[in-house]
Amino acid sequence: MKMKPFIIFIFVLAGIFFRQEGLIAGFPDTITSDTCKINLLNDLAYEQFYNSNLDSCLYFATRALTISDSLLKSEQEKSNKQYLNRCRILKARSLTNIGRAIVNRNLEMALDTMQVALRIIRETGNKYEEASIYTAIGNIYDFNGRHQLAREYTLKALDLFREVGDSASYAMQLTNVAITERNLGNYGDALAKLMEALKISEELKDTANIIEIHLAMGFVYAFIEQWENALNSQGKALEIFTQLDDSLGIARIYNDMGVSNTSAGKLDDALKFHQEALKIRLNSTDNYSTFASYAYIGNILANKGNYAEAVYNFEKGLHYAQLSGYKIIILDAHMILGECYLNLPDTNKAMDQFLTVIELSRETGDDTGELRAAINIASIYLNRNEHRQALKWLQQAEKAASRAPMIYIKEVYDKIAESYFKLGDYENAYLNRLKFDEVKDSLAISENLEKITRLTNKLEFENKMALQKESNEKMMAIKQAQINRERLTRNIFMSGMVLALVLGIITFVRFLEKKKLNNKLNVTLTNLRNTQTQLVHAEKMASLGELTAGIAHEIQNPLNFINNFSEVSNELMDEMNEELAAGNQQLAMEIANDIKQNLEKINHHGKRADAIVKGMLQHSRTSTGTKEPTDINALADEYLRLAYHGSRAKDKNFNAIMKTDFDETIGNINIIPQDIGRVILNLITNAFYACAERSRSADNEKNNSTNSILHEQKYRPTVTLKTKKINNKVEISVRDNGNGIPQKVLDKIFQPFFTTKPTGQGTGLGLSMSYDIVTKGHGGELKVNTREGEYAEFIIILNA
Amino acid sequence: MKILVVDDEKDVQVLFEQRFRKDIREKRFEFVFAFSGEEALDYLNQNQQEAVLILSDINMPGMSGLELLGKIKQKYLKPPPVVMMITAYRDDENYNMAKKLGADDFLTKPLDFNLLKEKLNHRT
Repeated sequence: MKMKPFIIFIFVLAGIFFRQEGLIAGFPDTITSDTCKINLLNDLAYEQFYNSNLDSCLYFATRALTISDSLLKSEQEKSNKQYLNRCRILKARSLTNIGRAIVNRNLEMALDTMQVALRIIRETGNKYEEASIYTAIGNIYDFNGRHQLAREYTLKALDLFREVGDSASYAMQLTNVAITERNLGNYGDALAKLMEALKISEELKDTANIIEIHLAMGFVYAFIEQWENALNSQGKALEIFTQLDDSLGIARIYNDMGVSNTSAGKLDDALKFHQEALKIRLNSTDNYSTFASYAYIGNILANKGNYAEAVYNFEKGLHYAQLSGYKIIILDAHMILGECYLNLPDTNKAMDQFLTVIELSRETGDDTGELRAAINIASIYLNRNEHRQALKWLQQAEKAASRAPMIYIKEVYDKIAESYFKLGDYENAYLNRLKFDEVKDSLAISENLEKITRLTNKLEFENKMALQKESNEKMMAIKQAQINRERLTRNIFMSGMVLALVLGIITFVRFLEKKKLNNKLNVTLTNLRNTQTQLVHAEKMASLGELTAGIAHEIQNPLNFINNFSEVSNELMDEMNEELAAGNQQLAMEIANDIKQNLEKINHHGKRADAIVKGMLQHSRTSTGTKEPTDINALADEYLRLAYHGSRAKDKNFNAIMKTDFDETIGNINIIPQDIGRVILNLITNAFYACAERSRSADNEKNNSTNSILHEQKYRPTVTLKTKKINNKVEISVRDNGNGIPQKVLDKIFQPFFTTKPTGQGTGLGLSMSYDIVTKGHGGELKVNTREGEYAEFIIILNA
Repeated sequence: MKILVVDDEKDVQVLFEQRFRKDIREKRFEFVFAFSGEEALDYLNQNQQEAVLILSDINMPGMSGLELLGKIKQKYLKPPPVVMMITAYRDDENYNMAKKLGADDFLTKPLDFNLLKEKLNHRT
């Protein structure tokens, strides 16, 4: 009854959702409407699938496939890679739904279709979608009793969900895996996995899955004949469904409790539960579940020896099985009806049922079904003393037995031996008796196997039904949960809109006020900017002043050589001429060599002076702002010398040990040389200043007015300049062993205008400019390490 | 006369050897070179009193010329050798400091070798 508004709601939601998706993903209009159509068709197909309307499911899925096919083709032609994967996913989803739709008609074809979907989805690399297809394939195998394959695929899906990191899907899939483990008789594993899934789901508050887990646990407990535990788990699930007021869910629990009670031997209780479940289900469109309830009731009545009433229920069940359209279920309905007729006994009617089963089992490839029907037919013939006919069916059963549970094979050999015996063919009877014993022995050896087989036999179709129900109702619960979520999101969105509107009005009023304020602020800002420009210039000039002394010294040295070497060369020329006149060829040549050497030196020192002047010009000039490949070691070395002589020029007493440790593997790095040079200069000048400060305080402590340089000072001012390449970064570190930086000013040192120097001595812009140059100008880092009274180390980190 | 020249600029050696080539040839002067203050002290410690005249640059990394001067004049050698200071700065502060520390003379860069020769000849 809930279904109609439910579907309409899906439509509305889908409309909203896909329109938004179209906008977000930026799909062109035609694509948007097509993807929208495909999504709706696939939703409808799924809807129909879970309502067991497989023909409608196939109809919608095929339409979805047709549109997604042509969309995919047109995108491939346009080689529009952006949407290609989206289209592939749509096609794969359509194919998966087609697979679901035809599973009852042609299992192999359904599986093939799923495999095609899998191939397409692998091209997109979308793990989530791939996992979903694995889940669908796993469900198909499970439904058809191929538990090993089912396990394989559910595990594949589980791994992918883990990889994707979707814990809700992971927990859900863990439940699926547990169910396949259970079907394989690995009850311990099944329970362990269910516990894990329960833990995750409880954390996620995923009610839908929590119910699933309780139900699945109930089944496992039933299988290991712990009825109390089974009923306990089911009770928990019932509680949740009751809270949710979910009548179909309640019916399902009644159903499962019925199964548990049946297994516990409490047939009357079981009957009551199944009848309650049936009452609810008769009001639903779920023919499937209605069949199951009739079948359970029939079984219990048959167990109680009430075959007439059992037959009535089985016939009702068959009717609903046929309405469901699932051939595998129809087959089961015929089988149980046949077996009931056999007990009635009405062998003619039984025979009709079994012949139908044979027919259906060949269509669906259900070996177990064929085997069971063949054995039943054979036993009818045996009862009629038609041994040759019996043998014919038994031999057919033997052929089908290869993939069926062992218990049936045993029965086949037992009956074959009996037939031969009755026919007087003792040799063959003996041989088949031997085979029977063999099978029986191997069964006896593995008691567990026997137990499992017995239980599987007993609960086979119940199991199948439960599985189908589990997956169907699970999907429904998930869908409902999704809708609730989306509804919630939409509500949040709506209230968000109202809030935004109110805020908008407030903002507009504020905007008018702000506008006035802004005009004032703009004026202030312009003034500030001018001041800042002046200050930056002042900082530059200040550091230029520091440089000048250094530069003077640096220039005097090369000039000294240039002047003197040129003078001495002039003298040497005269000497050379004298020697030539005297005929001392050898001496004249030696002098000529000296002159040549001198000219080279003059050239070298001339270039040196040139570089110094250029460096000075670069420093005073505004940065060109262009990065160029620069030898960072040469740059650092040059500025170290400039800074040293600058400090020396300022403070005659100053001296420091300079240590350099250059990493020669760095090569050229792309930087604005004059900017980084300025940073290095600034850091080194600071380092020297720190050393000088500590020297001064050390001298004062000695309280000695005479010349400090004469003392055997324990403190050796040392500045270390280091470059190092680390991976793709280059570190330039400047470390001094001065007084360090006090913790309380550490977070201020990069702020503009912060300085520890006496008023008038520092602009307070050195480090803040350095910081901006390194971080904003070069995308690097400027870090500081310090310990008070011991050292300070600044590290420039640049990209190599 | 043995003269110790102290300067961190290595080309100073070639310059002196060429400028004083005649004096060296005629053995009037003998030159020894040290490229840092520390190196100069090492040399003086190993060769007591050998050098009677020291010519030192002031601006050098590590031990400065003034520091070296102080050590030579007040701590190491008795009687102390003649020490002449050379600097790139023609400023009073450096000059006064050098004088205070006992420098015998003061020269500025670029070095006037004719003047230096005169002073050296005057000392011998």
